[in-house]
Amino acid sequence: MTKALVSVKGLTKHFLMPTGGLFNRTVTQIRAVDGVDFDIAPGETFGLVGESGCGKTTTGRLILRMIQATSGSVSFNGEALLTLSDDEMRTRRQQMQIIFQDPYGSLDPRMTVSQIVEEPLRIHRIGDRATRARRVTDLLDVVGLRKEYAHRYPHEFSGGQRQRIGIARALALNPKFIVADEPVSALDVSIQAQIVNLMMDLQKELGLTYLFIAHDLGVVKHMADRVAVMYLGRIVEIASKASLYGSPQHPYSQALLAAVPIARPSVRQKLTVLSGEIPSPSRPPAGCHFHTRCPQALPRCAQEAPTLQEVRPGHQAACHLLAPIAQ
Amino acid sequence: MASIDSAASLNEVNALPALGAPPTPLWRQLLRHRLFMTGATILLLMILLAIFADLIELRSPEKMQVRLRFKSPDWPYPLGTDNYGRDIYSRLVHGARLSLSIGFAVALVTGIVGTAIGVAAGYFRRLDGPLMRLMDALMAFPAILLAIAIAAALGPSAMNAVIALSVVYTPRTARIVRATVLVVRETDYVQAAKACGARDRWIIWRHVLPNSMAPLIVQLTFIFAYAILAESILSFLGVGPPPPTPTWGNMIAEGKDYLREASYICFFPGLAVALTCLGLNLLGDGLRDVLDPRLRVQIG
Amino acid sequence: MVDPILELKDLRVVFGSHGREQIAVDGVNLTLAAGEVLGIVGESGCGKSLTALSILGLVPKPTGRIACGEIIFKGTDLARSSDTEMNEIRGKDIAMIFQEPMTALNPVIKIGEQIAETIRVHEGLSRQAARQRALSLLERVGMSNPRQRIDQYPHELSGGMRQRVMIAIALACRPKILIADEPTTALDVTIQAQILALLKDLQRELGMAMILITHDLGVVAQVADRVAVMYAGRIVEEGTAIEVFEAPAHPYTRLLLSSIPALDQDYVRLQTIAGMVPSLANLPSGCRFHPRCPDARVQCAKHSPRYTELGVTHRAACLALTGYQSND
Repeated sequence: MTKALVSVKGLTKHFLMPTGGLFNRTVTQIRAVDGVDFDIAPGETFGLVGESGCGKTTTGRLILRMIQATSGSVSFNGEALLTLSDDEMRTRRQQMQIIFQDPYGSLDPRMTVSQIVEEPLRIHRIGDRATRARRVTDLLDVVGLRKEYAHRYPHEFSGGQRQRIGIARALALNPKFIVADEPVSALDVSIQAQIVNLMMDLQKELGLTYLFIAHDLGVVKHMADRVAVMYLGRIVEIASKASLYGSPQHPYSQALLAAVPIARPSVRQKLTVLSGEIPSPSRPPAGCHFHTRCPQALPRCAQEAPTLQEVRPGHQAACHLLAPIAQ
Repeated sequence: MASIDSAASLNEVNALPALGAPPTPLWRQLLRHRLFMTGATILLLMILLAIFADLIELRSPEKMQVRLRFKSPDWPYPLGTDNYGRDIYSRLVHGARLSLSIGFAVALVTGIVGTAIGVAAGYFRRLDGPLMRLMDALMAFPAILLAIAIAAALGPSAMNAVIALSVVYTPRTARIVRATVLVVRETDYVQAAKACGARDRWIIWRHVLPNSMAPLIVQLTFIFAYAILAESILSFLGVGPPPPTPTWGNMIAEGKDYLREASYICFFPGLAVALTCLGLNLLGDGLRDVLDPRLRVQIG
Repeated sequence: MVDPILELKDLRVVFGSHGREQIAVDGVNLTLAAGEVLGIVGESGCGKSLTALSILGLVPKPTGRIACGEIIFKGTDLARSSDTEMNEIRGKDIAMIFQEPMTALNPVIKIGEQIAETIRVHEGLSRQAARQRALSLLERVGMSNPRQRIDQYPHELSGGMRQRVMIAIALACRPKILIADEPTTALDVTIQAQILALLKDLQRELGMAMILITHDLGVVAQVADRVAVMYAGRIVEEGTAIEVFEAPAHPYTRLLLSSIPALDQDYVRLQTIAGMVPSLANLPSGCRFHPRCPDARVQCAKHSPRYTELGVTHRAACLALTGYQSND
């Protein structure tokens, strides 16, 4: 297998929140990301899906060192990232960028489009004013915005156009790796399709690697090569998209896929496969986090947390019901 | 091969209608706002009085003519004379200079120091506690009493009045700036800059400050008004700029003993203070109206 | 059809002051039969939420108002009813649930109290009786530990539970019509499935009519009997769910359906709709969709298409269906 571009091992993030009333102040530990392992190969799109509280957004930010990890390691191009100094990290940041979910909050309302897109270049003191202006024009062109828009302000644009500006900014430094944190969730359906197509075109043209975080399983299936499913801070399944969508192994993945409403009225689904609420990340169930809602839970599941193991070629799952393939 | 695919993508976008005309710029919106323009006109009038005081005075503001004491408002003393026979009108226009300067200076100092403290407290978590407790301590004193105490301790002068009032009003601006900084700090665009490796200095200068200014500016117009009022109180109590240099405050102070016989000595400077404060309040309200909706997020 | 329980005739909702008005809902005609589920789909800005709000007289004043049209319910025109008359209807005959349960619930009142309030206002029950009803409602909407939760505050509940509380409040007085405005958009997929199943269940049990507004075509397909597709303030296609999804006649409907990546299909490239939704201030002439329509011709910019009947229940507004002859 080609060497991974991004390699994550045992990545953990615990948040400490002060709770309790005036007289019994305690600290609650929220295990937002609880020991996560995966590799992303160069040029691939790695999808990360899950519902609220699963830790997918936090994982993306941990990889980029936008949040401090509690433990674990992240390596990029073979180099360990979490132990680098701030200055060393700063240079590495040119290779890894992020696209945000909210097109309305991700652009500084007081800056023009060209100022926003060239900011990464100015931060790293790349080029002079003329070269930067040319680069901005090129970037706007690549994302499909007219260059006359460079002097307008974000509030003059629609959601889809703002996302394009955000993508142009992410590309400014020629990164190899982009964390796309729900980049199309806040957009209308017809615009989602435009942005998804744009991202895939850019990936082909520029050889980008994506970590694509989303909750819309249909979009992830289209964009991703491999997909990991997260639940309450842990990865429960990783597989190629064909394998995951074709034969999901983990009960949670199965329930998740079955719950997506199909746009075909003649196929009436039984939508409720999973009952109960998603537990709070501050009080995850013992053993396997999913056992409280799992229709097939065994007594063992409440005591022992399952580890991620290969249950089919290229397909890993963390579930006591599944037998790992013999070595 | 790749270019064909992105051409398809471009075709999707070329069907986009061109952006409409840019929305009305801020200054034009302000010009259309009636309250703002009323306030601005009043303030401008006062400023002009102050600037051209030398030209529009009728006689020297300090010239005492004891034989002409307590003349009612009538030509050639349109606003009358005070207990020393000085022309109230000329004193009024000269007083504008000092009163307005003090108000402006306080607003300026409060703005700068308050922003520095507010940004430090809002952006750096470790500084937040100590700085804001200091601000809380200052705010615990009733503003005027604190100002009087400081001004009395330092001695009566215009400069000391400015210092005293700045100390009193800075916590208010610091709080407002801190509140905005707390919000701006968590926005995605600041996170984006951090993801690029921007240093704190860069983020504060290019993102935090520009986005924190709007509420501050509105607050500063109100502080300008408070300062003018407070200066008149300080002078009234004798801890402001000392006579014979006229300020609206010390004119009221000197006239207070003669309220029954010659109320006009207090009335005109009092009216001037009231009008200026009104003008500043209208200005601030107008600014707030125009600035606030722009900060509101558009609903898709 | 049998006498409809609700009828919208030529409804027009505008925003802004005279001289600079923008028409957000432009001549909408809809009927709702008793006990049926009508889905209104469209992207943001198409006017679907406003249509629903205007039924209950909740259009934000003073910026917005109903400019013309009728909303006939039980023989009365709701568009012309006074606030007092509307208050009688809201919550009792017609109820509404919203997208964001956190903002729709009062954060400082216990949820049991909020449910009981509707009951006491409309039916005049005593505190005890209303609380009993609230408890049984919580059970009916599938709330876990209802005896404990009835005294909790909204912030102590998860999104799905809050939505159940909103449904309980809405159904407290057994309304004839439930308007659900994006009820599951803010919820996770597995919770959405639970809430949709609950809504379907309750709707059938109470024999309620439901108007379901959403942008999620999957949700509409699974829940609605009839569907209306809105674009830029107008209904462009209307029919039974099967008709609209399996034989879409309007280009917008067709493109919208094909731009969603389905789970059981593979795509090389997603189908998109070129351009973007027009702003209300700059609506295209003639057919509003024509600048983005791959089948558009010259006539489409000149004439606004009328409805072409494609069947007893199916109609669409597109000139292509009449051979591009204007049917003004």
